[in-house]
Parts: sequence; structure tokens; C-alpha cells
Amino acid sequence: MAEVILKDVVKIYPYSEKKEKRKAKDVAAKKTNLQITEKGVVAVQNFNLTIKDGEFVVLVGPSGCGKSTTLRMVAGLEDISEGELYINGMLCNSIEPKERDIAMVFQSYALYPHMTVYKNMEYPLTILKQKIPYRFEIEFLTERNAAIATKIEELKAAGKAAKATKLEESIKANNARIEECKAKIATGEIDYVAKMSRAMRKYKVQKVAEMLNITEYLDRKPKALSGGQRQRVAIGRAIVRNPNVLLMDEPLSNLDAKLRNEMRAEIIKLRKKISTTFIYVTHDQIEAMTLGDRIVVMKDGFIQQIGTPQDVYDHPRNKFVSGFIGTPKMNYFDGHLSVKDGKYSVTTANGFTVALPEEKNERLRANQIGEQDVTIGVRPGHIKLNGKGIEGQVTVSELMGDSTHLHISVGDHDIIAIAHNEGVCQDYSGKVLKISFEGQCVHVFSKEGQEKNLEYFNENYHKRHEEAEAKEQKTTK
Amino acid sequence: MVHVATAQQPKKKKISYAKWGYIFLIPFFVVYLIFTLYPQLLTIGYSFTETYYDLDPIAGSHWEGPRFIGIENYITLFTPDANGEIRILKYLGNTMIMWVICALPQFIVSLLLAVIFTSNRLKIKGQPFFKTVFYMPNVIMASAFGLLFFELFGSVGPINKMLISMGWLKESYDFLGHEVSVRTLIGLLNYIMWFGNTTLVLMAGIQGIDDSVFESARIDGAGAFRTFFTITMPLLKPIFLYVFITSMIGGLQMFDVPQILTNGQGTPNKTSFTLVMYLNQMLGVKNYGISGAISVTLFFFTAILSIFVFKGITKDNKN
Amino acid sequence: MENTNNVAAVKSKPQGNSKNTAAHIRLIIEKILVYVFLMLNVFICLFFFYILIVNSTMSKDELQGVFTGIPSTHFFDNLKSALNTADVDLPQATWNSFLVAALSAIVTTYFSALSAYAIHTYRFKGRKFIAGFILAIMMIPSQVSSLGFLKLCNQMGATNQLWVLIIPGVAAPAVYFYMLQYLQATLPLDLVEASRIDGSSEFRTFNRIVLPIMKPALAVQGIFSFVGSWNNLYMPALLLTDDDKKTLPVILANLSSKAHSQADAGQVWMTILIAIVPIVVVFLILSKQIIKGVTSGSVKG
Repeated sequence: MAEVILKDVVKIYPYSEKKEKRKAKDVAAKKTNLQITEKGVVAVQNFNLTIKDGEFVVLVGPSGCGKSTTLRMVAGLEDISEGELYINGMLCNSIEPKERDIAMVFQSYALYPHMTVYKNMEYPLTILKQKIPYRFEIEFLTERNAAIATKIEELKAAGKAAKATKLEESIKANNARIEECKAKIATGEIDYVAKMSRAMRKYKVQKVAEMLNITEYLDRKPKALSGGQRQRVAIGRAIVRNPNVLLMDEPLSNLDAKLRNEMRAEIIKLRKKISTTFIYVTHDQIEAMTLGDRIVVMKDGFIQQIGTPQDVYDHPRNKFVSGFIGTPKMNYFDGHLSVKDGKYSVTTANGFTVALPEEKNERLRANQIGEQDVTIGVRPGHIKLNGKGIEGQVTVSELMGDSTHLHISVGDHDIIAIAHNEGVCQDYSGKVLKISFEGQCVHVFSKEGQEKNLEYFNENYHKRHEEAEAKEQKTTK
Repeated sequence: MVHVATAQQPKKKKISYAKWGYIFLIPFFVVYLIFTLYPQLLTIGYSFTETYYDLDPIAGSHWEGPRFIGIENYITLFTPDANGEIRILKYLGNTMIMWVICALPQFIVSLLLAVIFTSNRLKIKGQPFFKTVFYMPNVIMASAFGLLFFELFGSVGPINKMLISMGWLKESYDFLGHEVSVRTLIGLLNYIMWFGNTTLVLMAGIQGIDDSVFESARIDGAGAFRTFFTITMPLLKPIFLYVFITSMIGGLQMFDVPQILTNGQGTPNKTSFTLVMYLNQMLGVKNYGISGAISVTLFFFTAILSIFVFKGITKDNKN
Repeated sequence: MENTNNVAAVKSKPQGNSKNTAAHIRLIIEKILVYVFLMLNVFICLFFFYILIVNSTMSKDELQGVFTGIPSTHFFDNLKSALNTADVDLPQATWNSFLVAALSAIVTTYFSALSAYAIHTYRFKGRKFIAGFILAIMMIPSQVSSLGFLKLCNQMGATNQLWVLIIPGVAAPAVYFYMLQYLQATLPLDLVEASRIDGSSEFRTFNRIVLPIMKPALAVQGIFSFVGSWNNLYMPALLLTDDDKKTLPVILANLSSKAHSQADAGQVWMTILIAIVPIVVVFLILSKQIIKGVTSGSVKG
């Protein structure tokens, strides 16, 4: 377990050759909105994050947002251009991956195709010294003694007494070692660093295999496994070392939808079994919401928001985050924010007006927000179909089972609403409905710049982000 | 890891694996520089000098040179000899003629075989057997093959005996003493050695063409011949040209077979003498100046012919 | 065959049976012609070997007589005389050939794989240039450097040393090129990175992870360079002048240069057989892989 701190981390991909500079500039600029400086393309900008010991942090964002690059910098596979990375209090910028005590699960699993599952999982243990908890060694020796004891019985039955006495001695030696370990634990020491013996490696691999339900595949090669099984092996190879930090780079995106759901649950279970810091990268917001203690939403190399899933869902910091987190996607209306006697209300372009509740008023006041044109965001689940409000025609009606997703044409764009089916399924196609929403469900986004959430007010992050942005403006200038 | 935490924290330094790229390439380039590039430069250097081992019976054998003489070696190479022949061009001609004798039937037969093997209609059985047999001569020592032919077609060899006993010949024919028969034998031998290889490559090329193209041609009503000339050949062209160029460059370096078959003489009357045999002969008598010039000329012949063919490809592709 | 018939039958049903049978007969005739053509080529390939084998069983006197095509009984006499003849040390030459061929195969494949791995895996400055450079030097015929190579060996005092025939294999652009293509098709960089995270050094990753994955390519190129080296005449003939250093092709070349009449013909046939048989046996065992290697390597070229 370890704390991971990223301090002002920046990743710049320099141009490989001068001639290609302009070309690369154009191409990169077209493909993404990554910032381009004299040095190269900036893939990650001023990344500041402190990951607590044992925390599960998910980096989420659309492709090209810099989430994988960030993870690879933590892993030591990418060089850190600027800033500092601390793992367990140790500055790791120039430390090789093998010395960072991290493990990683790759999107492609990256299993060694010529090795059996067992060999794959054993491989990291054969190379490096491992930290071996005394508790684990006691467990190992106890089990070993039991195995030797049965062997002795067999030998005695076969009349080979000489061999049996030899084995008895090794039991004694093991017992002595167990006492030693117990003494160490009593003094407060937890583990020591050494190369694992072959028997101990076998024990360890078997333990992990049991945990992941892959014991029966240990002799197979990766080729003979299904996607889900390979995924388990990849995870097994990563956790067999008891790493301080477990990095996962889109581990589920190569699986089909059903397996993905299963494995997601597996990872949640796994997390309860092993105590390690997790950093998990995904582009799938559902994974982010379900797995993370905290999620980090990224776009174009910038952190957009850091917070618990609930926090990010309820209080998206800007329009991008609001649209990225939550399915179906949030609906947006052009509108106007007006204020009268400190009470705010919003009016959509279609003329639907709704007053905001007091808690939102408070936040808007605190942010000193004045009257202005805004984008109003409402989640599909919060759209009400109660015959009041804005009129629209259903263009597409998607039956999802217990609910129906309605695409409703309002003005010049479609919005999505969810109709819950109570017993009877209806086909809504072509129907004209009236939609409305309530004040506490409304998110108000500025029309300017980064389309910030105007009511966004969070003491912990507000200040930091303002600072970061000021810095970023400086650098761009 | 615990043991690292106790280590001193290094200064900010970058993790870079790029250096390993250089490290792993060191053996290649060291060996390349010493055993290929340096000899090549030496060769070029010698081509501008007069260097030879003088077998002087009076003063005793000794090395002459190296003495810089500019392009005189090249002038010598391209000056007609007493018979009015420019030798190096004659040998180039010999080489190319023998290459054509081997290459022309080879390409035709190989194309035919490739089409036959890949035909869905004929469904040839025993393909592994045929492929193995056809490819086998390619792994056999060219010098052993040459010696085999030398024995077979000698004036008292089995072929002559067979032909006489069958009554086709009255007396033994000196296969190794006539221009046409020697060149044909060399061509035949090279054909046997290479047609299997060419067949396999062309087959792979045909198999690389999407099946649906052939199926669509069949639905469009194209017969076997039409399919071959309008679909297979055009699509096979890049690979065919690859085969053509490699075969030609290989042909230019023809050495083992004529060397052994004619005992290094290119009999009769140097009509089967190749460029590399010439180089070998000059190296044998330790005339390094001329050898260098021949090597460089050989390189230019190869380069010119390759560029010529490459140009042909690109021009065709534009059209 | 059945399939084709079914298809033909379905197609031509409305037109009656006569056309169906006509097409069928045509196919059969075509097939017969094709098989005759194939057998003709098989004959060309095998006929000479047949004579070689038959003649290697004949005594000197039998060879002077009428050619019968029937094997005789002097196989072991010839073998004995070929192995024991005074002027050529055939066992030594076979051993030399084997040594050079085997070591060349190992050196060539290992270092070509290493070079290809360097280009494939690492992003260093000048990588593209180096990759292009190696491709360019692949085109230069090896004979061009033969004079300089000979001179170099003289300078190093390395004529009649077998290692000078082995070491140059470290820089084999064509083998490197094959390995590179194989790596590009089979080695995802994730695997290298996973190994790095698992604590492996770069060199260990190459030896333990990459080489085993490349086994098929190593085998194919190993066989090819073994065969190429075993059969090579040009450089060995120039370099090896000591009798105990000569390789088989050099011995064969010498054999042909001695007037054939004076030699024991049966012994000559036997020598050829000895030179050919090991390679043929290897080829027959590995023909599947070799044929696969020929086709996979050249298509992309």
C-alpha cells in the first residue's frame, strides 16, 4: 500500500524530427484539441493529484485525453516531462518501473504467449526480490509441514524409515522458522525482502489462482483461454507480487458487454480482498462510477474535475463533465438566468421558466453570478412528462425493458427523456408530449470559455483549479 | 519496494529506454563496419590502383603496387582485346543469356504451376508432395549439382550411354564442348534449382489475392484464361516483379554451377564464363587492381538493371 | 471434386444432362493433362538423384560399362574409399561444413533478431534512418566486397580460419528484414512493457520473452542460413587453402578440377552423395516449415 502524489506533472511529446514539425502540428491540432507548444504536443497538463493509501482512483475521459499517458507515467513506462511523482514518499521520476513496486494490467492483457498460466504468474516472482510478510511465511510453512507429514506417513507405511526421519527434521526446521517469524511479528515487523524459493512461489501463485478461480487453467497457455480467463490471469500476474500500487489500463474494454459487467463485479470483490492502491483508467463512465472511490475526469490533457462519483454526478464542474458522466447524456437547453432579490430563476428559449431552490441560490450568490445567457442542463431521468411545459414530438422510442428512452424533438434539437414502464409498454413514436423539469434538477452552465457550472462551489477544489488555470494561462502566453 | 526506499533518492533524471536501441544494434554495426563496409571501401580503393602478384621467374615472385593509376583499370576492362571483344561485356552477355535460358521457362512453368495449385476447380491432390519435390533442388549444394551434371553429361557419362543404347546417338556427344549445350545445361540446372522456389512465391501471391475477386469474376462469366490474364496477372504484378528482380540479381551473380561444370574455364572458348567467374579468376591470380574494378562494375551493372526495372514498375503503376 | 460436380449439376440442370457430362469429361481431361505436367516436373527433379544414387552403388568398372539404371552392390566399397582416400579428407570437410553452417545459423538468427528487436521496440533518434540504411545495404551483392574481405582476412592473418565465415553473419540485412516483419506481426509492445513492470531487464526481456515468441521465425531463418552456409562455395574457395580447413563445396570444386578420368568414378559419385544427403534429410524433415518460410518471407518483399 502506498500513497501516490502527482505534483504539477506535465507530459510533452517532443517532435521527433524538425521537418515533420509543422506537419505533426497540423495533424495533431486537427485530431485533438491538445495544446501545442514549441517543445511539442502537450498530452498532460499540470496534473495534480494525491491518491491516498488504499484508495481506488479512476481516471476517465474520452480517447486522447491523457489518462493512459498519466498512468504510464506512474508506471514508469513514459518519462515525466515536468513535475514530480511520489510513490510512498519517494520521488520516482527517474526510478525504473521494477523498482517502483507497482504492477499493471494491460488492455491487451499482455500475457506471455509461450508460457503457461502458471509460468506467466510466476514470472515476476522469479526476477525480483519480493517483500514477504511473516504472516504469509507462517501460513506457507504450516501448509508445507502438513504436506510433509502425510508424506512421512506414506513412507512409514512403505517401510522407508530412514527417509521419514529426514523429513521429520525438515518439519522441525520449519517449526523453528515459524517461531522466528512469530517473534518478528511480536516486535512489530511485518515483512522482509528476499527472493522467494520455488516452493514458496508455487504456494503464492496457487493462492492467487484460487482467489481468481483460475486454478484449473494453470497448465494452459494463454491461447487456450477465453477473454475473461485471460483477464483474470493478467490480474493474477499483477497481484501476485503484492504491489504497492496496482495500475489498470482499460482492463475490461476488450471484453464483451456481459463479461465486462461480471469482471467489474470481480474487481470490486478483489478490491475488498487485497489492500492496495488502485489507479484505474477507462473511457467508460459506468466503470468509473461503479469502481472508483474518487474519479478524475480528464479532457485534452487537463483535469476537468476530481471527486467522488456522487459528487461528480451531482455537481459537474462544467458542461463537458456533465455530458460525459451519466447515461443517457444530459440534455441541454439554451436559456437565460435572471436574478431578482437574490433569487435566481432560469428561462429556456422556449419560454419555460423555473425558479431555483434556495441551496442553489446560495451557491450562485456566493459565486457572485449576475444575469446572463446560460446553457441549462437537465438529466434525462429528471425530465418530467406530466403534460406541462415545453411541447415536443417523439421521434424515436427505444424500449429498454423497465423503461423507455424517448428522443423528443424540441425546437431545433433532440432531447432524451426516460419514461418508466409500469406494467405496460407503450410505443411513444410520433406522439406529441409536454416536458418540464424542476428547479433542483437544473444545472446552469456559463456560455463562455470552459462552460463552467455557475453554481459550482467546492471549497477543496475551487481554489486549486483557479490557481492551475491562472498558471496555465501564463504558460500559454 | 522496501529496499529501494533506503537507497538515495536520485536527482531528477529521465527514464529512457531509447539507449537500448543503440546498444542492441552495436553488434550489427560493428560487424557491418569491419566485415562489409571496410572491405567494400577497400575494393573500391584497389580498383584505382595497380596491384598484383608478379610471378617473375627471374626476380622471384613478389607483390607489385599498390600504385595509384586512376581509372586505368576501368579503361583496360572496357578496351577490346586482341580478338576485338570487350571481355567484361562478353561475360555480362554470357551471364544474361544463361539467365534468360533458365528464367524464361522458369517463369512460365512457375506461373502455370502456381495457378494449377491454387485452382479451386482442379483441386490438385498431393500438393505437399509436389511442393516438397519441386523445392528440394533449391537446398542442394549448387557445386554438388554442378559436379553431378559434369559426371552425367561427360563423354562417358550415363546420359551419353543411355542415348547410345537407345539408338538416338551413334557415338557419344561432347555436351561440355559445345556452346549451345553447355549454356543449355547451365540454364537447365538453374531452372531445376529455382522453379520450385518461384512457384511457391507466386502461389503465395495468388493466395494473397482476395478470393472474392475470383468468385466475382466467375459470376461475371470469366473463364479460366480470361481470369488469368485480366485478374490474376494484373494483381500478381508486384510480386511477379519482385521475383523478376531477385532472379535477375541472382542471375548476375551466377557462379557455382558454371564454375564447377566447366572447371572454372567457361568452356568452350569462354562462352559460358560469367562475371563472377571472371572476378574469381582475377582474385585467384591475385590481380587486385582489376578485381576491384570488376567488383565495382558488377555493382553498377546490378544497380543499373535494378533501377531500370524499378523505374518500369513505378511507370506502370502511374498508368 | 464432389463439390464442383454438385455445383455444375445444379447450374446446368435446366440445360439437360448432355452438357453436364461434357463439362465433366472436359474437367477430367484437364486434370489428366495437369497431372502429366506435374509428373514431368517431378521426373526432372528426381531423375538426376536417381542416377546419383544408382551410380554411387557401382564399382569403377561397372561405371565404364553400359548404363543399366539398376543399382549394384558396391555402395559400401565406394563409401569406404570415399572416406579413406588420401587426397581429400572427407570426414574433416563434412565436420568443417557442419561447424560453419551450424554456428552461422545460430549467430545469424540471434543477432538479426536482436537488431530487428532494437528497431522494432525502441524509439531512438535516427531510428528511421538506420532502418532505411539497413534496407539499402541489403541490395548490394556480397561479391562486391569479396576482394576487400579477402584482403581484410589477410591483414588479420585469418585466412584458413573458419570463424571469418561465421562472424559476418551478425550483420545479415536480409535475415534482419525477415525478423523485423515477423516482430511487427507478432510482438505487441505491451508485452515488452509488461515484462519491464514485472521487473525484467531489457536484455532478459529479449532472451526470455521475445526469443521464445520468435521461435518459428528463428527456425525458418536458421534453416535457410544453415543451408546457405553449407552450400556456399565462393568465399570458402578463396579463403580456405589448408586441406584440413576446407569445406565440402571446396572439396567438390577441387574434385571437378582434377581430371575426372583419373579419379575413381564411383568414389566421386559417393562424394557428391555425401555432400547432398545431410541437407536433403534435413529438408525432408522440415519441409513443411521451410515451404511456409519461403512463402511468408517473400510475399511482403
